[in-house]
Amino acid sequence: MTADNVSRAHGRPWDEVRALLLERARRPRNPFYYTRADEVERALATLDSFDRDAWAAAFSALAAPYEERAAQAEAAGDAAAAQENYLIAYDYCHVARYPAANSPGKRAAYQRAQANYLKAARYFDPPLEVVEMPFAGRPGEGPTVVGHLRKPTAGGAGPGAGEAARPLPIVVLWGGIDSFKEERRDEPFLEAGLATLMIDMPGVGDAPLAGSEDAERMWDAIFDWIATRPELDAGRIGILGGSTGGYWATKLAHTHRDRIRAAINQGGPAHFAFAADWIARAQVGEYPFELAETLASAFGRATHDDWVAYAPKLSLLDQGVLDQPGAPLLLVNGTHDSVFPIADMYLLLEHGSPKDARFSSGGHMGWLPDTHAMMTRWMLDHLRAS
Amino acid sequence: MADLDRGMRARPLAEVREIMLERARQHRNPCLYVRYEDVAAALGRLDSLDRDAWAEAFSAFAPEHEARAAQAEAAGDTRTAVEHYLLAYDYYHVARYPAPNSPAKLRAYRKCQENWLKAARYLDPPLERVEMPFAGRPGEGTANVGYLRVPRAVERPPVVVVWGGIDGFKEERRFDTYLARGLAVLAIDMPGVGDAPLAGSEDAERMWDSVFDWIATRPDLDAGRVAVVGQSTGGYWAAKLAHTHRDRLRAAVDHGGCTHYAFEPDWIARAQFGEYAFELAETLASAFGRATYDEWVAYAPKLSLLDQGLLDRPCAPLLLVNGVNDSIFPIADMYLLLEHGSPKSARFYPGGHMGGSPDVEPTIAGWLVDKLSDER
Repeated sequence: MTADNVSRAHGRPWDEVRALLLERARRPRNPFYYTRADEVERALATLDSFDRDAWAAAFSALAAPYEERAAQAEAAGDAAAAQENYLIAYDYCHVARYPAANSPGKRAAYQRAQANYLKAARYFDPPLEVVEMPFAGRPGEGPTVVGHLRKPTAGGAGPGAGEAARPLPIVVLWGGIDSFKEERRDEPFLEAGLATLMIDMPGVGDAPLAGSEDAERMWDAIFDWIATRPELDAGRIGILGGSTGGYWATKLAHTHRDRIRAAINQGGPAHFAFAADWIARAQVGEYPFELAETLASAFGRATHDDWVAYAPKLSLLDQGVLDQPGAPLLLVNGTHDSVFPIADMYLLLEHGSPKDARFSSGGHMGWLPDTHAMMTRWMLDHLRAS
Repeated sequence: MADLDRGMRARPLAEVREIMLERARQHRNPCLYVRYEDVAAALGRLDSLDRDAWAEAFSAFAPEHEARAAQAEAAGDTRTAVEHYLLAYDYYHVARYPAPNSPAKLRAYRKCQENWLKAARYLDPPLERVEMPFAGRPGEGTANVGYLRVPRAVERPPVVVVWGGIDGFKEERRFDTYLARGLAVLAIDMPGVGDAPLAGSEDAERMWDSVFDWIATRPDLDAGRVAVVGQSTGGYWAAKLAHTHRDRLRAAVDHGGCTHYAFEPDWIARAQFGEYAFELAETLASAFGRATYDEWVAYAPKLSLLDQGLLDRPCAPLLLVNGVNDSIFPIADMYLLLEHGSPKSARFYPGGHMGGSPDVEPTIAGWLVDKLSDER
């Protein structure tokens, strides 16, 4: 069975996927941030299957003109136009590798997405620094965790301003199975005076190891590295995991509670999401396509059936994690999430330390107009100097 | 017709008897100290839920304990005195249960208080009965009555104001877990019950202005570090105060309260035969200046905090605690609070009303200590 056949056996038909994606491109919504809806529509029209390399080629092709324009603007000293076009080029390559870099064409697209993103990032204010954090893994695992570090502008107006003289509190952010360090939104934290470190959760992006029952050990390397940076306060670390990444935020709140001040799980799974019946339902939920396959790929597996077989091992309830005391943990999601059940959030409220929560009546991630501001305020509250 | 309605909406006496006996066996509310055989005997004498007959059947067991307590006291046997004052208190407490909404139940409540206060004279740290001036409306009372206990060896401690619901009053509050953590405890009655100076209503939260003002007059208490804990129906007021009085509060705990869905007719109908022993709707009605089931159904929706427009306002730190299988107030009311306004803290349990786990009390106390100890 090819990957394509697997998808069709367990997912929605291609025509429906195309319509869903087009709707996202028009809103715009993940994975479409800077793309143009008409160009997306034309690319989708050339595709008639889930073939991963064909998908990657169709969207990567759209990046070339913007890469060219960006380079020209750069040569002409037009920073704004250069940044804008590099971001558009990045986003076409980002869509090209979406949801996960799980084929040769998608892997190449991801590299190109990163190259364009980092070219655009040269114009970011405050600047973005690529950092490599040594990771002492097991045989076959990578030697570093790659992060994007940004620090709030000194003298900024945020509530954290005036702390420039002392080490900065820092928020470590990561996404889920399809949204990597390049897709983090850190501005609200920077404006609040918090440094941000964007990384990839295990199994995606540049992470040095696959997701597994103990992949939380990756974060030891990150917290150790923060402690080596004199301008950062390793005693005031917050973490925010989005989507599947919320799973790791929840786990770390328990396993690494001595190293963090606060954790946010936005839209993550915990237990019920790993049950076979939920996996079957979610495959035709709001996630556009290949949810199970993309989850599988973030945990060192490939197929729908691999995921069904492996997922139950990830239950934080069955792992006995949830009745341990935990660091302050904020849960955020929509009660109608069809990617991960809201029951997983309610379950977390039935174990261990009291947790904070803010749900919406929406879908996956529970976005409301003030969700970013709410999470920033909460994080700031917990990262204040004591 | 009224009788027919009442018949359909009331739990049969035989069922009530079983529920009360089970509670007497387990020493669960309201049977804290009373003896199982006495409860069985009293219930055996009743052939209806007639309120005065109920009150008299249970009150009859108290005088013997009052006499023994007084004798022990005269003989200097403090331990025996306390034991029997508490027994007398509890027979009167069961006698007035769930609410003093008949002449004999009201008499029983007064005797219940009298005996409780006699037992309380031996508490350490001591219990002080305080009267807090209340400037109410015509027809309302002039004071809140509170029971204050201040931990020893803590200078200007933070204060936790605690109250119960429709059937558990200030006499039934627990102080020790808070006192042991250095928190002063002020036990009061929520509006419409016990000695409260006004009935529950859409704006009865004004009662707490007088409570907070009074705390500020006490130099031995820290009015800048006040928290509230409302239990059962009292949780409703804690959640409301977290929104309406957030500037006066460091923290609030809604332990088993109602918010919105509990006030809908279909829920009221289901809950009438849930884990509450009997007369749930009538007892709720009595805490809001009403009497009958139908009056409660008609009035309850006005109490919705959602419809009152409060929930999307910012609020003081608020901890929600309940059992997910609560059949008195739906867990959906807790989930609803998590879908509005500021993020809130929550700890739910697999049990019924209030959570029913030994973990509940230390969890609430630990959370409060955290919120009351940080400097601002």
